[in-house]
Amino acid sequence: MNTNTAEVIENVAPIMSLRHVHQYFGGVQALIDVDMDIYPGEVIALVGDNGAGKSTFLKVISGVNIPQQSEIEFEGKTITISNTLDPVNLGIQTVYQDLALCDNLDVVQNLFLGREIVNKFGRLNESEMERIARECLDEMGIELTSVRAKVSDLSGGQRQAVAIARAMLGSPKIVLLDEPLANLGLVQREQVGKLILNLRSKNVGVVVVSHDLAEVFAVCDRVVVFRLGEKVAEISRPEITKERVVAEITGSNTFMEEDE
Amino acid sequence: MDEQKKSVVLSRTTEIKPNKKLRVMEALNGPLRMLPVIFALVVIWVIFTILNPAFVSPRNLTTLSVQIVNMGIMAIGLFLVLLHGELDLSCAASSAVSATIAAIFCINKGLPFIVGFAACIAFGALIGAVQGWIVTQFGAPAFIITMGGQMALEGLLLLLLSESTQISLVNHSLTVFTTIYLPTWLSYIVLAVGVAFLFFLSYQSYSQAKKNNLPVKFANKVLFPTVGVLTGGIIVLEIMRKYKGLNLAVLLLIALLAVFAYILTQTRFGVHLYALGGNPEAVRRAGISVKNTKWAAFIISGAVFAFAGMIAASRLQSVSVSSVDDSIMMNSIAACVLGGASLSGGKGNIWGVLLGALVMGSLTNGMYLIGAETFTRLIIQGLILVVAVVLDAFIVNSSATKR
Repeated sequence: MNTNTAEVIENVAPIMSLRHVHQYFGGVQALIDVDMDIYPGEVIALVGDNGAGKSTFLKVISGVNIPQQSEIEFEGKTITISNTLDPVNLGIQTVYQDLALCDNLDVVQNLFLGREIVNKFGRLNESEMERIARECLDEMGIELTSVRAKVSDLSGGQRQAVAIARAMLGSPKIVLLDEPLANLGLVQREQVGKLILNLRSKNVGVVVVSHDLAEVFAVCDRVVVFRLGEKVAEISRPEITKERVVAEITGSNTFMEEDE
Repeated sequence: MDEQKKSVVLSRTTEIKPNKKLRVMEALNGPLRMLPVIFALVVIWVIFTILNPAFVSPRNLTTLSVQIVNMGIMAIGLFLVLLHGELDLSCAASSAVSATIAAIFCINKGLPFIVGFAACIAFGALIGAVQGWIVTQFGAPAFIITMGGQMALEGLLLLLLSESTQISLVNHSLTVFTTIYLPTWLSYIVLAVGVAFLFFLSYQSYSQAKKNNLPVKFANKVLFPTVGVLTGGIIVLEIMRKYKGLNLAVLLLIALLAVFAYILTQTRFGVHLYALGGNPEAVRRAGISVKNTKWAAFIISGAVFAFAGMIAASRLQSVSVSSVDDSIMMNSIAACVLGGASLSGGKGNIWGVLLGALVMGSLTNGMYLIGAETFTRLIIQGLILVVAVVLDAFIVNSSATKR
């Protein structure tokens, strides 16, 4: 197993290690013996063609898919993930593609949904939530006209930012982003890219699934390529080129490697 | 790192300079959401007063206030259900059967008032619990489940009253709700207590905001709301005292509204109900039990419907096989919608329900007063409802705040 590909951060222990992940859907093998390590302060891009298994693998980490076979270590301890709450309790936050925000609520209410701060009589402490929300957004460099604006009033990029801020509010160790650039304009893509770098600078392990190779390459440290359910390549920072990754995705480099 | 931070400026890329019309629409969709219904209410009152000045007499206003209590309380229950995106069509039958249970306990069995009243509320909650359990457990559409519930409950009512088709409550303590008028001194004490509560809560918010260094003004946060409610309360009580004073049922309606306003805006449960109306999937992923939250809302609204039934029985001084009043249900739904609730959930303010009930109640009351035929009243009520919903859709679509 070539797990030493993350050369830059060789000496740091991974937050999470997944080994021999197998996932079947009926007779279809969606994931075949996939291994991966997630390091702190590292952005990993999972790429591959449709149905290659990258989203399936992300869902294994987030607890949506339960693999038939797997060995998972989190901070050195062997663990099992059997539902979507297990990863959350470990410190793994997921930003889904559909963002899962409530349009009719404001930014603060969305950030704190399910973990509202109340006083000892059970009354919501709106002010404290608002202050923490402002601090969190400031720290991430997200600018909004008002934290009391309804989410339905926000642009696509702002919504994505709110969803990422919601993930950050739980002080996670790992953030999973499912297609964070989908449906965004050029400027907004760049902004979300910067937000991802921001997460990295806070020593969070970031795993991104994306179709948008160019934008993802701009921010990632490592590209993991999936093809037909298998992890076929793991390319670290200096060697990441579009040609190489596309070749791995399509499988057209198989001869080349054999030639070498 | 700092450079990164600075450069991440997420601006609204599609922002256009809001023109005047857009600004008006945004305001109507936001903070001034209640303005159209208040305007409609004023217009209705002005027209009826011109047609018959007796409309604004203390006597008629007191009558009007008692008339809307049943509808208003039922609308509170419906609002809770509408908020999380469901509908309860069994509310009229549920309230009639619950009131009948109280009548059977107290009149036929001779049990004390409190037993009958408790049984009534408990039975309403039970109906809500059963229907809510079916809806949440099987993901069945509440519209159909409660329609079935409506039929079954109507059958149950006929069964309960199969010997005598009605039970009279005349001179029984079950009618206290609408027969008691509070003496002026007592109603002022109640107002003082209410205002004190409001002051306490708003002051708590104010000091919390101060503690968290948020920009907040004492006048806006504490003074204006408290003084506003105090002034409004005094005006209402002064009008009421010119006739018989404040009716107990009216006080109960206001108290219920205040309690639910607190629950819906100041507690986690309330936020979760609004969130469920917005995006149930987001609520589920936030680790909140969607089933239990919805179920709780059904149970509470069932109890509220039972209370509405108690008020109706108290006003009519009887329960009968014809107590299931579908028009009251339709009026209650209309009151919710006029008050800003949406059938798809997640919208509206509970005080809007009171305004909606006042609009519907004023129309009924005023039309009788000017001697209009029932058909005129129904046509006008129907048209106002349609116009209100069309206007609301127009405001939402015209403001930029939609996606």
